[in-house]
Amino acid sequence: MSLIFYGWGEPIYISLMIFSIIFNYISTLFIHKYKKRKKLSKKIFIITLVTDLGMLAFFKYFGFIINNINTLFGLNIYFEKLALPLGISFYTFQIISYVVDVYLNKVKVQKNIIDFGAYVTMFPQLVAGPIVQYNDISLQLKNRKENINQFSEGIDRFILGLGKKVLIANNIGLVWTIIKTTEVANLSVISAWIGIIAFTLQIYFDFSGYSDMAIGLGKMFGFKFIENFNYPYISKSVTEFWRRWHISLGNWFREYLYIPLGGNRVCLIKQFRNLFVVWFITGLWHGASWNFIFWGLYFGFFIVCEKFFWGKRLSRLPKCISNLYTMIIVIVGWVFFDSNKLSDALNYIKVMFGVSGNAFIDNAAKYYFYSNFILFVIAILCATPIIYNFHKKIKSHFNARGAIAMAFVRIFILFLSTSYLINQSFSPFLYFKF
Amino acid sequence: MKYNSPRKKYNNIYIKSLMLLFLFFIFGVMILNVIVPDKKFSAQENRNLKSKPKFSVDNLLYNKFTSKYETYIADQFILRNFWINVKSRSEIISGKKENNDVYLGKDKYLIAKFKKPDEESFDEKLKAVNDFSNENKKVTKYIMLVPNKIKVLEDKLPKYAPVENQLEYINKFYSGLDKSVKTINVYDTLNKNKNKYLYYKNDHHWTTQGAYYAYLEFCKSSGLTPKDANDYDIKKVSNKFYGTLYSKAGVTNVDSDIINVYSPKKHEDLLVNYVEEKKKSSSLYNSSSLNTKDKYSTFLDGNHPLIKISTMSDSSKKLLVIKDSYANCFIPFLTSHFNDIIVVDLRYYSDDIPTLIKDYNITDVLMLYNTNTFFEDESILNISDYE
Repeated sequence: MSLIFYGWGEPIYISLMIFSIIFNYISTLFIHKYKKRKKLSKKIFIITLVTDLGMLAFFKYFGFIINNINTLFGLNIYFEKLALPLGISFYTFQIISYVVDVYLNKVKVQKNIIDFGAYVTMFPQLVAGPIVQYNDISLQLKNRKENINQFSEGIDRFILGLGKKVLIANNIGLVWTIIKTTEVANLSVISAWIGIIAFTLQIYFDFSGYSDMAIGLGKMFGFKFIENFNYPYISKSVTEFWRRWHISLGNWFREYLYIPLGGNRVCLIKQFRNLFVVWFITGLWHGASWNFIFWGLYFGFFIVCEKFFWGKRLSRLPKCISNLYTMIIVIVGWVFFDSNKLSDALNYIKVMFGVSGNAFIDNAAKYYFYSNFILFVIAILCATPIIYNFHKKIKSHFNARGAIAMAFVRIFILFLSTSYLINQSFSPFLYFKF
Repeated sequence: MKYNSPRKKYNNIYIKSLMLLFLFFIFGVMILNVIVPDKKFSAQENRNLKSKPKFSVDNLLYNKFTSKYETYIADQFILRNFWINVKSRSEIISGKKENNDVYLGKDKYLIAKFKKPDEESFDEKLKAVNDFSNENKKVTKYIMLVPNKIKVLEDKLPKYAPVENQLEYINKFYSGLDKSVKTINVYDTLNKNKNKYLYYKNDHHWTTQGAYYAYLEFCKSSGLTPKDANDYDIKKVSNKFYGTLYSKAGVTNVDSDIINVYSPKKHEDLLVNYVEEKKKSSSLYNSSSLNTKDKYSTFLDGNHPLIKISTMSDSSKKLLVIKDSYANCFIPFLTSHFNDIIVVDLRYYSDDIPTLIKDYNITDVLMLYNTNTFFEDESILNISDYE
C-alpha cells in the first residue's frame, strides 16, 4: 500500500525504490551470513554503503557537483537536470541506519523481505520524516496492536498536523512570498523582519505539520514514532534549538556520523573537525547548494562557541534574553536557507539591521502587519507550548461536555483544512486576458 | 484511585466522539463524492471543471495521470463552492484584505492589483505604437489609456495597501509617444466624478457612465460635439451582474452590479457585421448575454477579431478602433459621429492593420485600452510590422 502512495507522486521512481529494497535486503542478508568472516562482511558493507550513498549523491547532488567542477576548472559540462526521487534523502538514511546496525550486530537482520520493504517504504514518514531508525521499530513491525485508543490518538495528531500545514504554514508563507519578491531597494526594515519571521513560522509549521501527520498516521496503524519537533522556538541556546528541531535528523547524525568520528571523546582539534564535518553534512543534506552548506556551518559555528566559550554564561541569563539571542540567530539563519545566492542573503540581512539605508517602516510594512496580524498571533501562540498546556488543563478538569467540545474543535480544524485544500484548485479563468 | 476512573471515563468519551465524528466526516464526504454526478462548469470561476481522467499504463507513466486525478477530485469535490467560500470568509475574519491579487476594498469594491510593467516591455510597446504612427501618417491618431479602479478609486483601497501609481505609467507612456498621436487624458474627468458609479464593484470594467465621461473627453480632443446625457434613455438591463473580480477573488459578501445601456432617444439604424463569423445584427447589444454569467458581453457581443459597424451618420469620417473590452461600452457613443466604425481586437485579429486602413478608407484611428490589460497583454505589439 505504501508503494502505491509513493508511486502516486512519480511512478517511475518506484522502480528505483524497489531496486533499493531488493539490493539492501540481499546485502544485509549476506552481511549477516558472513559475519564470522570479518573481512568479507566488511567489504560487502562498504559496497552497500557506497551504493546507497552513491544513489543519493547521483540523484540529489549530481547537478551541484557538475556545477562546481565547471566553476573550478572553467569547463562547461552540460548535464540534464534530474528530478529528485521523492523522499530519497529520508529513505536512504533509513536504509543506511539499518545496514549499519546489521553490520554492527545491533539489530537482527530482517529475513522477511516484505517486512523490510515495509520499513523502507512506510508511507507516513517516507516523504518528510521523521527518520525512523530500524532498531526503534523493529519490534513494532511484527508485534503491534492497533487499538481504538491509538487509532483515535493518531487521528488527533494527524488533524493537528494537517491544520499546521494547511491553515498556518501555507498562509503565512504567502506573506514571505510577497516580501521575498519585493526589490531589496524598496524593502523597509520592518517589512524585512515581517517577511523572514513569516518564513520562520512557515517552515516550522510546514515541517512539523508533515511530521505530525506522519506520526498520527503511524499511530493509526499501531506504530509509535519518536517526536521530531519539540517547540524549537522556545530554545534558550542554539545547542538546545538543534535538540528540539528535526530531532530525528540530529539523532541520526549523532549516531551514525558524530559518534563514529569520535564525538567529543577525542583531542580538541579532532573535536573541531568532527563538529565541522557534521555541520557541513547537515547543511548539505538539506539541499544541493552552497547556501545550505553555509547555513549548516553557520549553526556549527554558534554551537562551537556555545560549547567552548559562552555556553555557561548564556545559561545564567534570564530566559527571555537567551531566547531572544537564539531566535535572532535562527531567524537570520533562515535568510541564508531560503536565498538562492549568498549575495541575496547578505543584502537582505543588511536591510534587516538597518545598514542599507532603507526606510525603517513604510506603508507596505503597515499593510502586511495589520492584514496578517491575527495569523501571526495564532502562529506564534501555536509555536509555544501554551496551547498544549492549556489543553492539558482542560483535560484534567475533564467532564463529558469538555470532551465532546474538544472533539468538535478537532473536527472543525479538519473541516477548515478541507476547505483550504480544495481551494488550492481554485483557479478562475481570467477571461479578460483573452 | 478515585480520580483516575472518571478521568479515564471522560477520556474515553473524547476518544470515541472524535473517532465517530472523524469517520462520519470522512465517509460522508467520500460517499457523497461518489454519488453526486460530476459538474461540467463552474459559474463562479467561469471555467470548465476537470472530468475524470482515463486510466492506462501510458497515462500513468507519461501523462501525469496522478496529478490530473488529484485535480479531478479537487474540482469535483462535493459542495466545492461552499468550501471555497468557507475559506474566503475565514480569511476575511482574520483580517486579510486581499485574495488572488484582488484587494477587498471599502464599500465592497473589488480592486484588481496593478503589476508595473518591466522596462523592456514598456519600451517595446512604445516603439510599436510609434512605428504604427509613422507608417500611417495620413490618418488622425488618438490613444486613450483608461486608468483602472486601483488608481481612480484609490481611496477605497485597504489602508496602507502598497500600490504602484498607474497614472505615472500612463503619463510616462504618453510622453514617449510621437507628437502626431493625440493622447487623451481621462483620469482627470474620472477622478472628478469618482463618487459616481464609474466602475463596476465586482468586475474589472468601467460602467457605461464612466465610458460616457471618457466620450466627452474624446470629443474635446477630436473637435466633435458630444451628445448630451439627456439625449439618451438610460436603461437598466441587469441588476444582478457578478463580474470577473467576483470570480477571481472568491468572496461572496458582495453587492451585485447594475448594467445600464445608454440608448439614444433619436433612433439610429445601424448594421453590425461580425466579419469573420459572418454574422450580422442590427443592434450593438446582445441581449441573450444578459442571461449568462458574463453579462458585460452584452456590449457588442463581447470580443471579436473584426467588427464593422455601418451607421446612418452624415459624417464622412471612418473610424478604426484598436481596443480591448473597455471599448465595448464606449463605441455606442460614437455611432452618430462616424460613417463606419471598424473594431479590431489585436488578441484575435491576425492580419495587418495598414491593409485594413486602406481597405476601409479609415480616416481616424483610436487606440483604447484599460491600463492593466495594456501593460500586461502583449497583443498591442501586433499593431505595426515590427520584428
